[in-house]
Amino acid sequence: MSLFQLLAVPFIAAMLFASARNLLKVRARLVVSTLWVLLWLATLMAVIDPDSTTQVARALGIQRGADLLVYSAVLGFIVGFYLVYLKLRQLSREITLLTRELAMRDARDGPSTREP
Amino acid sequence: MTVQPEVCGGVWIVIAAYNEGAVIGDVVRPLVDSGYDVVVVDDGSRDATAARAREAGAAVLRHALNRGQGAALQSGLTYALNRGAQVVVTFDADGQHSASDVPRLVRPVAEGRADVVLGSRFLEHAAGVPVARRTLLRLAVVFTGVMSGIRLTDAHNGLRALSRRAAQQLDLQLDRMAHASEIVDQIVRTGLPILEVPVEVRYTPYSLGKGQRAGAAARIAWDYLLNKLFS
Repeated sequence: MSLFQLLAVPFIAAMLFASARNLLKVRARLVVSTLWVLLWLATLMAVIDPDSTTQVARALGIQRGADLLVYSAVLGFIVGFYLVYLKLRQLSREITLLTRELAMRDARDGPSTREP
Repeated sequence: MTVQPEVCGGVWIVIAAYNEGAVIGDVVRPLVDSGYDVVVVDDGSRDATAARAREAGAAVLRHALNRGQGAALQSGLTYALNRGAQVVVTFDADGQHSASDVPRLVRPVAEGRADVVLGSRFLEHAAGVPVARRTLLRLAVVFTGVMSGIRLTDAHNGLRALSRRAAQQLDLQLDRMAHASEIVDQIVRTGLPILEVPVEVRYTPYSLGKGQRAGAAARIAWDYLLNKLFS
């Protein structure tokens, strides 16, 4: 076993264990939890047996396993950024609505305003 | 210019202000003196904007966090509508606009000729607009024309009047400066009649310092396009 494998395998195994436990305990977000388990399983397999990525790559019409990993990583990052961006937009919107709500509650009327 | 009493009742002036403590009192006072109800939305200022506005006679809403002019205007609009406003006028906080222009904007709404009246600095007073600013605003006009399908002479003028039903249909999502394009966009979609009237925009060193530069214009276009794409 290489040094990298010695370092990576315990970490990935821990992440796999955590996400599997999450899948079993929390029934909500079933699809996302399942995807995480599958992702960690695939990562574990790629670290323990690097040649297996080449077999998967060939099956997909890509020459090398390393290329498959690069393509997957790029796609993963794009999707990740997109999801984070959407989340940020939503958060920003919620902060604005909350700020507005607080402002309305504490509104101070000036001398020029009349009660309706 | 004297203001006709019948176009004062139910007219609310909404001012979004961020760190305008130095000038906000002088902006609010003539409006209050003319008999308008004024609400200043202090958008998380670090100076005495809220206190100065209150002293001058405005109702004050305070955003605990700075959320941008679009967000502040929407808060002010909602507040004014809750208070029974029949006409809402948006007015800049930096002293660019004059209170004497308000009746011109309100009158077409009060008379039922339009639901939205947009102030334009290019209908009569174009000569006073600095060249760089004029070029930028021309681009904004073209941009708004392409995106919203309406021909205006001035796209990013903060002085506008909205009837109650027009204001009720606005739901500004763009918190920062792109709201000016968004307002036009949402109004066009309602199909309510729009009118442009000439207004004066006073360029002072203070207001020019506060105004939008080319970089900010790119940011406005970017915010607007992103919103089109993702909402």
